[in-house]
Amino acid sequence: MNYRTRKGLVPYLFVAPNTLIFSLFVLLPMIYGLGFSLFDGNFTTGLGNFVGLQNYQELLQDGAFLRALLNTLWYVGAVVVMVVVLSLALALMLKETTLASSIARVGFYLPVILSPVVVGVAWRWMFGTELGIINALLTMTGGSPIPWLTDVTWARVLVTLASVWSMTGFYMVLFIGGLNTIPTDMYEAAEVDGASPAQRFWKITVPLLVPTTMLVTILATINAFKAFEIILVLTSGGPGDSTKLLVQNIYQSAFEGGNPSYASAQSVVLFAVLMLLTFVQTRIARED
Amino acid sequence: MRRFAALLAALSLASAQAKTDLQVVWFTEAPAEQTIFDKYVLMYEKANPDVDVSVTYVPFQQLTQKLQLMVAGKTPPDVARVVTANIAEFDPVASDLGKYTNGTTFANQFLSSQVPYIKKGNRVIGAPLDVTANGLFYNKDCFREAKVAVPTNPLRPWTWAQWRQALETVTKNSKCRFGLSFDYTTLRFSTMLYQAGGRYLDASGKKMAVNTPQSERAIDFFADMVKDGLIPRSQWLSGEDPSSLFKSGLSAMYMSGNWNLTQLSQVKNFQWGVAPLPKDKIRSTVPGGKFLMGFKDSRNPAEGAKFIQWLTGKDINIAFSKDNMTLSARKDARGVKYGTFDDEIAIYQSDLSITPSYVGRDWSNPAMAKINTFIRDQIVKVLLGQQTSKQALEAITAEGNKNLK
Repeated sequence: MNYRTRKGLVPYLFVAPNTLIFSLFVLLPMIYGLGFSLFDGNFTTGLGNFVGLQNYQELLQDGAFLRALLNTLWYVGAVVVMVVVLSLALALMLKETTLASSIARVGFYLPVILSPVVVGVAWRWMFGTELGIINALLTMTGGSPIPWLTDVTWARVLVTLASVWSMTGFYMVLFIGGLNTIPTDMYEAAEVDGASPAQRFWKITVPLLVPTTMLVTILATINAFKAFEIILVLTSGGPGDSTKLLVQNIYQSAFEGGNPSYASAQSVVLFAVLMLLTFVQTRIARED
Repeated sequence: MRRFAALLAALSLASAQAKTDLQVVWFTEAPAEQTIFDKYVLMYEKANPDVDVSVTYVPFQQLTQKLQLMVAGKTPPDVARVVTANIAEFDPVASDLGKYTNGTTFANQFLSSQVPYIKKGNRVIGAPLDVTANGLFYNKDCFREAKVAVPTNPLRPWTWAQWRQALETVTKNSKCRFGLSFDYTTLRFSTMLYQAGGRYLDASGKKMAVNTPQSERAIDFFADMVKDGLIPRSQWLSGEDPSSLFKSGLSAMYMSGNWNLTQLSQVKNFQWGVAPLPKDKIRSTVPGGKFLMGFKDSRNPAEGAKFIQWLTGKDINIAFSKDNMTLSARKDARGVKYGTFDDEIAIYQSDLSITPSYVGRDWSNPAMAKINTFIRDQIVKVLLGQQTSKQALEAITAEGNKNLK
């Protein structure tokens, strides 16, 4: 092997370990899942019979799946909007490095390092309908308890807020990083030209933060689509199936319904939705 | 000297390698269960020096998933402790105990209510470790404080109306703020469905027979108790743990089952007891149980079968049941005294003895395992006012018939 060939191989050797791990643990299961969705197998019989697109046809008439998909879209929309707005707001407030802002940053980042199960349990302790601290305080002060987790609307609101609370700190850090890359002389020049703070925000900060905002939006969207643990602990997908998202529905189809082929078909749909959204978001970013 | 030591090491290694490694998956619902089972593993290893038992303990909530993945990955354990729903699901991959012993004689050792779960044609796909019964625990302190008497004779239990009245009185006149903690399972709800005279499947076991006024009455009665706050809404609508509420002393009663006796024996902050299940049209509980099963693709199915026979054999099984405060499923264990909780156990046994045989047949049908969650979801929709009990029963019937095909 001559020097040129060896030199040409170096980059591939660098990416080889990651490619190998990715292929083994991500690509291969994905291909297997896609194939499995075309069969009627289960855990005891294995692949079973080839049924083509029958599992996908059933999905279109499956009320539980459609409700879970709708819940997921609603949840993702709410979470992503709130996360982007709140994390940007926090980043703007805390971008200067002082002792107070550093303490505040740590405070806002703390929920990120908590396990989602701990977040769910903590929120349940606070908002439990019968035994929650907040309802106990309300009752002690003469108020009426609020059905936080047993009312459809309240449960949806709380699930969203808990998720937003648990992830905003992480995106705040990304925004702070993005804000620090904007040259300060641009703000100074705009200030000399008489631009107001609002003008400076809309004309300088927002356009120059587009790459960071897109990154945050894509990551938050993917994470929101994969939400599972917090909701499982907080409401178990209830009341009824009002907070049951696609991932929980997939889990239940596979392990409670004993139908992994059907669950695979749902996973493929989730994957397709995520791919589509990511594609649209990156196209928008490129055009900007 | 060095050569001698090497020879000894090689010999000990060879003998260790010659041991049969028996893989066991054991689910637990309380820490004490693990300690007790460890004792029996040691006993088995002592009696069988050529066997090394490796136990994987899993919490009950993860049992089904664990076994599903092991079976799908072609690495099933030699023995697993399972519940009724699992034994139906894993029937196609179960080891036939009839290959290692006389199947009919073996199955006939157990109570007739448990035989439909394990006898599938000529095959014997498992062995009952114990029999379970749904039942009612109650907080003696709260009932005493509210001056409400609880029936002690299972032959003269409360009617549903008396039961409800008692719960209302206790929640008004004692420190128990909640009437009835209720496990979030279809099986527990079904106690009331059978008491009302309902059933899930017809006599042939091939068609749903749940859509009746009796079943409707059961759902409506249950929904009213939730609506009126006697059963905390959070337990069926947001997954709040019912046992915690009872153990904290805030709930007057707890609808669960006999397997909680060991756990509740740790409760020291109040006195508790077991009340006979109330009756409506009939008296009934729901028999279930824990089973041992082997898997035909496991590494040591023969040793697995031997272990199952050992643990479900008369002497060991009765001792094991006493240690765990469970009811042995062996016919020859009837009348055995446990030393503690004998009165409570007698109540469960009375409820079991009066339960119609079709209840066990319903739950040994594999279709019930598949629609279990669906039934629970339909009841929740009634609780949320999204459908009537009649609509719920129609949906359950349609889904059940689809699975029975």
